[in-house]
Amino acid sequence: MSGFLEIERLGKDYGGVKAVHDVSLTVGEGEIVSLIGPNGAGKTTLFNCITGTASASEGQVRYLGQDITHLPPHRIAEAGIRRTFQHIRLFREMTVMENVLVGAHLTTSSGIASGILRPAWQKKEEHAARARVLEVLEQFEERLLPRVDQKVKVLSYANQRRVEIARCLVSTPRLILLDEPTAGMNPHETQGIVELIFRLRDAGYTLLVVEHKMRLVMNVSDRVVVLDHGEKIAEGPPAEVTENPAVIEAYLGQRENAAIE
Amino acid sequence: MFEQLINGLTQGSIYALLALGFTIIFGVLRMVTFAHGEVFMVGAYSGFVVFTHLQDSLVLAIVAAVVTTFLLGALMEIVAFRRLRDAPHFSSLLVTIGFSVVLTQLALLIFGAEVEAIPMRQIEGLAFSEIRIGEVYVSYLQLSVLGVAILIMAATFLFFKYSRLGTAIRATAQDHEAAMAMGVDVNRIFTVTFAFGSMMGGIAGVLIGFYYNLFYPTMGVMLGLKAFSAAVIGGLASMPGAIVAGLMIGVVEVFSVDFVNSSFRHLIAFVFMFAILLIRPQGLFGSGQLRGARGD
Amino acid sequence: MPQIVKDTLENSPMILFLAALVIAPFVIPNQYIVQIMVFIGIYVILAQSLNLLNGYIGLIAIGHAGFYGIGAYTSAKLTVDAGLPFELAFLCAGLVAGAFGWALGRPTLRLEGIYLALATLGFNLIVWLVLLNWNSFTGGPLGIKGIPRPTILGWEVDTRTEYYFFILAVVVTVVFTMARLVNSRFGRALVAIREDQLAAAAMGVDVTRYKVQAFVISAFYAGIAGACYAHFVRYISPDSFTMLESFILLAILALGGSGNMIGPIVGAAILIAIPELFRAVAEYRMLLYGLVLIIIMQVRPQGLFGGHHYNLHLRLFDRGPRRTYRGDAFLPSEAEQ
Repeated sequence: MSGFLEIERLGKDYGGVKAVHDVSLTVGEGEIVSLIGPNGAGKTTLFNCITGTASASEGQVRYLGQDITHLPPHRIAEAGIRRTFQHIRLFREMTVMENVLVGAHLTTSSGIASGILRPAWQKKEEHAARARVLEVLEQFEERLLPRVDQKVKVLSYANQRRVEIARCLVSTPRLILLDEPTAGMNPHETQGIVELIFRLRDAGYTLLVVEHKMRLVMNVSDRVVVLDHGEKIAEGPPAEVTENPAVIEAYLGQRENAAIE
Repeated sequence: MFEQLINGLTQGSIYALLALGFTIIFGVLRMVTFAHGEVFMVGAYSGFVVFTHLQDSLVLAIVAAVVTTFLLGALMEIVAFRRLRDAPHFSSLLVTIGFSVVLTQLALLIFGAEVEAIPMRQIEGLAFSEIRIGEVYVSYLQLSVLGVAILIMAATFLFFKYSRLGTAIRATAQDHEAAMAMGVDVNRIFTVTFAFGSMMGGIAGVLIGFYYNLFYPTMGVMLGLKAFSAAVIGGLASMPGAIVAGLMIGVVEVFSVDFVNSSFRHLIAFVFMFAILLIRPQGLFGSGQLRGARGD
Repeated sequence: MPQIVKDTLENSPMILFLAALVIAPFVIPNQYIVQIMVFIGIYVILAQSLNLLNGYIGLIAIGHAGFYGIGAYTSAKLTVDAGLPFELAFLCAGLVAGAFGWALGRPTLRLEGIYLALATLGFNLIVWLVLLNWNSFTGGPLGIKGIPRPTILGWEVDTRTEYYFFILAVVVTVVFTMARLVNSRFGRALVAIREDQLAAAAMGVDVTRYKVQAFVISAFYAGIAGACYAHFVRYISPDSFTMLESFILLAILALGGSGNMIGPIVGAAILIAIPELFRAVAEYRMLLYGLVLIIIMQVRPQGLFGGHHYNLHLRLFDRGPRRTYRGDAFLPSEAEQ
């Protein structure tokens, strides 16, 4: 199990406030691990530390044996990790196609000179990249394909979340971090995401998911990790974790925040 | 030597005053105004007009500058910021640049491109009466400039520390939304702050106009930019930083005359600024919050 | 229908426009008008150059006349003093300006936007001060006189009309390369950075590197514009490269709208032509530019052509992959939440 993503005693301080403290966690290849916990438990901070958006104050993140703790975000992306954001961060003025093409930034290579001169290989690369984008968009049935040339800012909230996921998938990363992928979706749309997650697992992706919807977590996760006040309080298979007194305590403490369906 | 230092401090106190106005505006509105040098010019001309046409009193000249630049500042805040609060920051910036161009052009239309000066007979009492301090002579004018600058700075600190409005402004600087939730009329605070910062630029304008007895439409360009540099060196939102950096630039400039071609003297502030941006972008005193007058 | 015909039809407005520009000097043999067109051309290059920064990657650069001046002086010095052939000096103007862009961009582009704005303005001022005061090298306030007319591969560009065609060629090249650039992987990365720097980085875009590259390219084009200017007026002095010049460019982008290819062209045409055509306005030229900056932001902050899709561009040169979905129906846009 070890050797894929290993987080060791990770800590993150924001001006004396410990957003994440002493969290260790491993994710094995092909696994789906969910990260749950009340609001403010440090889930997104942990995501930020893994992807380089925030720099960890202590501890280490290793990916495929390589220390990625203090790498800048684009280098971590190069290593093969992609993420979505809790608050949607799309390129609003760009179309669906262009957004997802930016996701393919690292799987394409054309630069300034080739962008201007457009040699044959550049055109081929561009065609292939666009074809690949369409292939990825097909995963979302008829949700995104017909809107491929629309600016993402005119899409519905749920579709914007789908574009974010598509933007990750297009580069076939090995590890995907999904930060509340179903936030703002109705049960039917959520079900679509659940099915997508299963398809991704079957295709061999490794997923680390932050999610509030317990039914989804129970349904898809191989393993659940519970954070509270920046610390890991429990870890294990879904059924086991929900029985854990510390977890129940943490959620009872902030029942209004725990969106258990 | 000592005289040189006084010269440097006088010059520097003007930079400091200008930089302070700039800093206050940035600290609260989180926005840079590029028309600050032109507000300074407007202040100088207001003083000039009142002094030459109404009554030759430096106090009245300063009052005139205070009134015009305060109102001008309020107008600019409404046009450049309040109306564009939801637009990208760049839009506000462009509007202030627009104001700087328009103000300069209007001054050109009204006063012409030539350098104007207050007639000797009106200003000689101020400029040529000197008092002796130890071994050196200091002119009344120089003393007034320094005196007024120090007075304004001190008043500013006291205002921010003790007055109700000052406290509200500081609260707004720290957190717009929290201030709003506490019942502060944030829009009013923004306008007042901008007007207040502009007014300080206006006072600086009168002082330097009288100090050199030179008034011309582009007089604010170089000074405005040096004040930016001073503010950046001090840390953009740090009031003591702005003052220290302003004085420092003034003194260094005066002493540099012995070493560098005088026309390159103007570069010193920018070279400093670039150095600071490279080494310590947050500035000498910088922290990002309006600092220095806090009660704690 | 063969692709080439389709493209031609699709681009007919642009082809007609280009054709009009080509025959214009013959239809209107007025030297003064031709001269205005040359100036418009120079400002189109400058505005496109600035557009890459302010419009596409979203960097706030407000001292672009610094690069413009460096280009003009480089080309002038190299042809007048060093006797270099025009073609080489022209290229060097871009390269030297680009090198300055690199030197300024490397340290400042890591910082927040506002610092870059201040740094670019400071840079403009420094360039101006140096041009003005380094008498032995730049000629000080007197500037450089007797800049030769260009000779391009044996073609002596003598008359205004000939110079017009030279500028037209440069402008078309600049617009063409720029349009291709912003519609490539490179351009997408720039716009992504403008839209959301953090998300762009998470997708593997090396944000600082792209910013520096865009900055250098932009400075290169501004330098080229400087050379175009120097060899046209044949006499340059520091006063042509003050901050006011930078502000004119900002007004052009504000009016035309940035982040697309058409806005800078229209903006330059309007703002350069008006003071020249209406003598009454000429005296208040800068006042006009200042008012444009203030008023446009109040009534139409995105400018005349802003808000269009950013890659509104010249299809003729760009027969790249286009329509991407061949399904049954393109659906109407959804309302936002």
